[in-house]
Amino acid sequence: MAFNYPFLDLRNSLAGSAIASRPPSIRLRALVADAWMETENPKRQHQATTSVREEVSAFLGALGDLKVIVRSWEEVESYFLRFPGLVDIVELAVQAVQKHIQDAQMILDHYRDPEIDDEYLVLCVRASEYDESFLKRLAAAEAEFLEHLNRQQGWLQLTTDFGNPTDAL
Amino acid sequence: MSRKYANPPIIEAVCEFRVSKNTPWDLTIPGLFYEKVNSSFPVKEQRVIQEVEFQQGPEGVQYYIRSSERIFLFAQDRKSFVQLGPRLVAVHCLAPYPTWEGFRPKIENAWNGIREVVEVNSLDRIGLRYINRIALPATAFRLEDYFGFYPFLAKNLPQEIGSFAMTVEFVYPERPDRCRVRLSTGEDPQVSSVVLDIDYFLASPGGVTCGQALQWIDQAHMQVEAIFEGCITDRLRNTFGELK
Repeated sequence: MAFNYPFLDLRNSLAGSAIASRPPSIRLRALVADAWMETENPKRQHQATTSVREEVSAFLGALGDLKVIVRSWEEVESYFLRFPGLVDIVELAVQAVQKHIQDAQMILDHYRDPEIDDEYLVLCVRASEYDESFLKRLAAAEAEFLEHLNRQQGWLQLTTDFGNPTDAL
Repeated sequence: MSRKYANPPIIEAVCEFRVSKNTPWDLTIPGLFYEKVNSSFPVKEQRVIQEVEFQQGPEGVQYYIRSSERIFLFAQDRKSFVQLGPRLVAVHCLAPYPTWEGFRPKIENAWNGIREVVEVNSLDRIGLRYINRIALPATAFRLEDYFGFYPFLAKNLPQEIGSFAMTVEFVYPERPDRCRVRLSTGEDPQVSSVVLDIDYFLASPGGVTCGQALQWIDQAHMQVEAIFEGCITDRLRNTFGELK
């Protein structure tokens, strides 16, 4: 069965719209791919009932294409379900890290403090080399999303463990 | 009499109302609606959602991208929330599922709340959706031991499955509803699980009047329960810990 990837057309359809200034979000691209597959049958024209979990799942799945490994999938998903606004923040954070640390491997995980009632997401960045500028570049990446994060409920911690990126795979 | 479980596998339950395009809708509605539901959903948040809508046109399936603002109103524990968008109200419950007796009043609260602040002319769609994640043995197992709804493989096909996704849309000749059921392998590569997604919806715009909406929801819930119970075997049911 032929399957035409729709993103080239998608970009054209965005031209002139209010969101033309930025590419379709990671999760939108994932949802388009899913929805396109689902609607190839012209008899299947009924929309699905809104689900945040579906959006989160598509987003987490799409992160794999961006060199982000999701650890503790169910905990991360559960956190996103309670703080869905963080989907936008993590997307911003991943793009900011890719901009400032080109060869970065990222690990998205959930952290729960065993002593106090606190939990948050952790985006751990690993690079093939840790030169003097690494922490500055990490801070520059964080600066790109921190203001947005401060307006949201929930928390994302950007950090590094200075690990070998290939160990994460 | 419906079954109740100590460990239900539901990770998200949603009841969504999409009201007709001829229902007046403006920027004052979120604020007015919040006043009606803030005792249950006091925490306000806002997001811009990009949506894809597909429509059948003369040259095949066309798609449209829409950006719309959504207001999220969370319960204090964030285990349930209401999503409000243009001509859309959706009530979500997360795990642990509070039983239908806990979920239904939230739906009623939101539906009555929106009807108090806007004159809903008619309903284009109502949906009641339950997404379940079901843990399965990490070792090889037969799907038919756990499910009454699974992909059939003829004997002359390979019998070992790495992953699968199967969707069936049930129709109900006596009512304007459909139920889309999807069983697929779970996304977490580290865990053996499947996702059972049951989306029961009003497939015919205007098929239910606003006054009948809550009655429709009750019937929809009975259908969803019947579908869920039909999809699983006793062996799986026992792992949920049925409450007698």
